[in-house]
Amino acid sequence: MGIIESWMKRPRNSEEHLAELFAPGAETRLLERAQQLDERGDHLDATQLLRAGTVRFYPWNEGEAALDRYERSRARAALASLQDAVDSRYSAADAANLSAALNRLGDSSGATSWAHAAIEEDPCNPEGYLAIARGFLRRFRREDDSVAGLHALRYLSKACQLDPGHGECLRALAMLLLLLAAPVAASKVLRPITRVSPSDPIVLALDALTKILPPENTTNVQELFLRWETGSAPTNDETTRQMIPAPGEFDVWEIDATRSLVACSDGADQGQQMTESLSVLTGSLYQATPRMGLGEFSRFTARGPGGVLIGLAESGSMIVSHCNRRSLESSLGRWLESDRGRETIR
Amino acid sequence: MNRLLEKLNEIPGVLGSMVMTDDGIPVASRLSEEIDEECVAAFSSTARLAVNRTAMHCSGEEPEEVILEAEGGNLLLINLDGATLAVMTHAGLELNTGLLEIRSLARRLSGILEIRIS
Repeated sequence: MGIIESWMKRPRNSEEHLAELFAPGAETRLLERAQQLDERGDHLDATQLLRAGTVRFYPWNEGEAALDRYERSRARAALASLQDAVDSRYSAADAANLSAALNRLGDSSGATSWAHAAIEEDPCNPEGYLAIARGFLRRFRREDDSVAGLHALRYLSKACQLDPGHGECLRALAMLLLLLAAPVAASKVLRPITRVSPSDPIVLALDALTKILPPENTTNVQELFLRWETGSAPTNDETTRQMIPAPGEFDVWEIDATRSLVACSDGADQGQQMTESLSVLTGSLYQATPRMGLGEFSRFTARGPGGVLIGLAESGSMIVSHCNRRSLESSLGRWLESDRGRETIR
Repeated sequence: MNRLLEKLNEIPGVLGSMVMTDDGIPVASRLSEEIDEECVAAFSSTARLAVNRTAMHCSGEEPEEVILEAEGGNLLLINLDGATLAVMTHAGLELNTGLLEIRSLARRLSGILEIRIS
């Protein structure tokens, strides 16, 4: 390797020092560094460093409290000029900035209405979605509120879709993925930032976490949320999987309370993607209906050009069945409601 | 759009309705005050995505409508080409009769969205 190449491969001093702040047990040093940055007027750098720190050392109450102080003082200092900006020239970005500041100062209804105003003013500008997402992301991190995490994901996905290279959107999405213990997905999201700014605090937090967190074995973000909530992943043991006798035109699967595929009919797809889809389907539906105020989930029916798909709840588990012909929906429903002959076999 | 949602809410047994983007961002809603709009949008979108993915593995086609039935009520999710209509109804509602009317209003909503996009 040439001298220039080896020199280029060496981390710069500042990078080295910054990376040390994300090493195990470096919380206090990171806090001190953020304080120094803040004192010399680098408020944004201080905030970004602390944000990355709260992800790296999660759960880290001292860091959260410091971040809260910084963010609030920045919001307080900027509030008057943000209000002036909204009054004088009114743009989606101005409304979104005001929303973010109000959110930090605890005025959540003001924050929500300004964020929605930003989206209404320019639905293709990511700032309004980002402002809403940040509030939810904070709640997810501080209160372990999975619903807030899901909200954050929706708004961040939208913001990233509108502007795929938006640094702050990418950082926030990577933070969410790291909190969900998904370093591989976070690393993909951060790739554009890593390329241009390898010493960005969130990149360093990711590097540090990659050494601790095992790589996730799913690319399905709904599965990540379910794992985060339940603390477990489906086992899907093929050797113990049983057979469900079913008429030839129906494909049938049974998923148990651990979201694992435990039985299926002859010829039904048992591939990894299908199995994961069924696990996510079961977990998502059992979660969704109570949280929407509809009570315990009992059944779903999906109709389309591809036929009919019916799922039936059974004490924590679910029976899912598909038929290509929509005209057979009633027969499929009746067959599912009957004992299906499963119990005599198993 | 709001007028059509109000019409939907007049169908017996319908508790509220909303239009949201496919990624679960509310566009217009007529839900009662005690129902959390963000929560319905988030979980409707999660449920729809999970059902769609499974249906795609089964047949390679996404469903046009999904009906979730639960102890305390039902949720209908109807595809509006790029958006989703979510309709909450009472539990045990006779879905066959109300569904025809809901589908007809969904088609009109779909037309409005097409006009807006173009």
